[in-house]
Amino acid sequence: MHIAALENVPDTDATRLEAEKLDIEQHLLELHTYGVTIVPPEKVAEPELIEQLRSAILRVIAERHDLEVPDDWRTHSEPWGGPKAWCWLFEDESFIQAALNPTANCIAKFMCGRNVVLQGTPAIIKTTGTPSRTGTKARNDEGFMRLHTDTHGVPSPLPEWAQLVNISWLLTDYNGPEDGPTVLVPGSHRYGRMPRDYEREWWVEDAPVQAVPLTGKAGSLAIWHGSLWHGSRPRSADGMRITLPFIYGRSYLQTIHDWPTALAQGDNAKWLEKYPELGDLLACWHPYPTDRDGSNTPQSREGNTRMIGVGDNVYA
Amino acid sequence: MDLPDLGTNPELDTIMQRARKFDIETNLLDLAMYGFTVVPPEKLGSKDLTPRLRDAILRVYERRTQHKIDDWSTYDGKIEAHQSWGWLLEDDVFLEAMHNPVYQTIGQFLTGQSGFLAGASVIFKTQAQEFDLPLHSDSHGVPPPWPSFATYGNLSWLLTDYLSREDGPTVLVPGSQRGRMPRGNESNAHLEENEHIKPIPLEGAAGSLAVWNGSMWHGSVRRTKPGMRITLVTVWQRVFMRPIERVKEISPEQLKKWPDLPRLLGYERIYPYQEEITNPAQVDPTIQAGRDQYA
Repeated sequence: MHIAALENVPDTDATRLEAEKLDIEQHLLELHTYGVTIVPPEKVAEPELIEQLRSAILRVIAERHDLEVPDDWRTHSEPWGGPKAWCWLFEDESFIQAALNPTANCIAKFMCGRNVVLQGTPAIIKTTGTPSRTGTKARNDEGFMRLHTDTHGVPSPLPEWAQLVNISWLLTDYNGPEDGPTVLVPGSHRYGRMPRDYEREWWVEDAPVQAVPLTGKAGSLAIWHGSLWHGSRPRSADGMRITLPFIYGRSYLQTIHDWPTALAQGDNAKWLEKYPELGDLLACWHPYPTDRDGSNTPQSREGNTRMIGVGDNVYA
Repeated sequence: MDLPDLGTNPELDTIMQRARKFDIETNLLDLAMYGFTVVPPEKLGSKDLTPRLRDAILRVYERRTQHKIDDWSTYDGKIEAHQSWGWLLEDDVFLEAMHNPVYQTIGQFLTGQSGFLAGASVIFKTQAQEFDLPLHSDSHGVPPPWPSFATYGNLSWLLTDYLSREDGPTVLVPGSQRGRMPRGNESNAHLEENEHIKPIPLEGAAGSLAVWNGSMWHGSVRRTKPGMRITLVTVWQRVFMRPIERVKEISPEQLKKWPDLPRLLGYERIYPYQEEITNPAQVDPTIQAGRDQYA
């Protein structure tokens, strides 16, 4: 019995059929059970896109901080970059292509429903000696990042369904602990809460919570539920770890970036013409935030209906 | 990164490793997304299990009612009132089916490694029964909002074909395991037009295993063709649930053949307490089941 083909539950069916076509059903099951999965490069994108993303990140970080792009990211082992690590979408067309990648989008929809919204995009560059920081007080000069969830501001109990999902493009290899990877606590999305202070320092002797290093080849997508406990460890290998996380979330959440403002800047609006589906992903349809006289979107009536309908089921 | 091999969630890892081995990962994903799945006969092993289960059921039915049915494939008459629960210990073939590894993996995926087989009933259906079962959930007594995990799991062996509505199949509302019981006319959505609720008939060849989360809305429609529908329904429950069937004595022969039966049937759970705790070894696993839905 091929349930998805019955078209009885349209939102669920659409996501399931896409997953079947993309051969990623096993990854959806892992997200449901463990709260994390790694999709290998061959199921994600051509190597050219990975190269383009890596180059664009290095170029833009250099421009933002008035730096020279290192000769070779494989061997550059000094801390590099700066604090301007967010807002990548309109910096290079490759970021838009990554945001709309079919595999990434199918998984985003599985996790946050078909009306999923791109929340924001940081980029991470890590070398030996890069300190870590979670929150304003938790700087760790050794480079260990404390366990946390990404569902900031949402009190417990957190629902088992995801409000956010982190879909990270691994742009360099994560072969082992020496690469300074993310560490994760599989299954912790079912705990329904953030880690408490005494649970966060996973690297200390007799730590109450054990975390495992994430492994995956460059070009993989590492994906985890927004309520999954995770942190990271310092890099000891030569060269850079370069990662491009895309945070997707449900449409009722305040986005990390202000997309209407970003779209109004320069000629960014042109991307909506070239990639019409981008408007959906940035929630251009959503009636909130509105002004005193009503919605600031011309399709407010349609937007209202859609906004309310999204609450109908977890895959809508 | 092979998650089930990392040892981070031992109970879940075992279930996932077995799911991979038995090629039922997409069935588990069906359960996660839709709340039900149908495992086809070819994934369940023994080809002669289905006729042996059917024959055993008809033997027990005859013993219970003195009514002999010569040919189930053409019988079109009345089904005598019979004790519909309490089948598991009546014939070894039932216990053989309960030890099918695919069956047990799915039962544990739904109710955890501490989940237990709480009872088994048999459904006979012929054209003579002019009855449609209203939509309902089996999560009796559990108020809304329902938890995201299953409290009950229904694992039904389809012993005759469910190929179309004429076979009198179960009908289900995909995705309905998330929420609450049906209210009012919602229970008749498979019998009359309903704008919002669209039940679908369960389809599967004889020998399939149909599984649904106990919270799913389901009912059935009457049979409109000759022959019998025969279904062996088994219900799994979480360790904290009140069991459907009373404890029955397991024979020494059965215990010798299947030493795990007391655990499988939930006889080794911590409750009810006597003056002294009789199963102290089960205290920790029961507490662990409260920490992890797969434990």
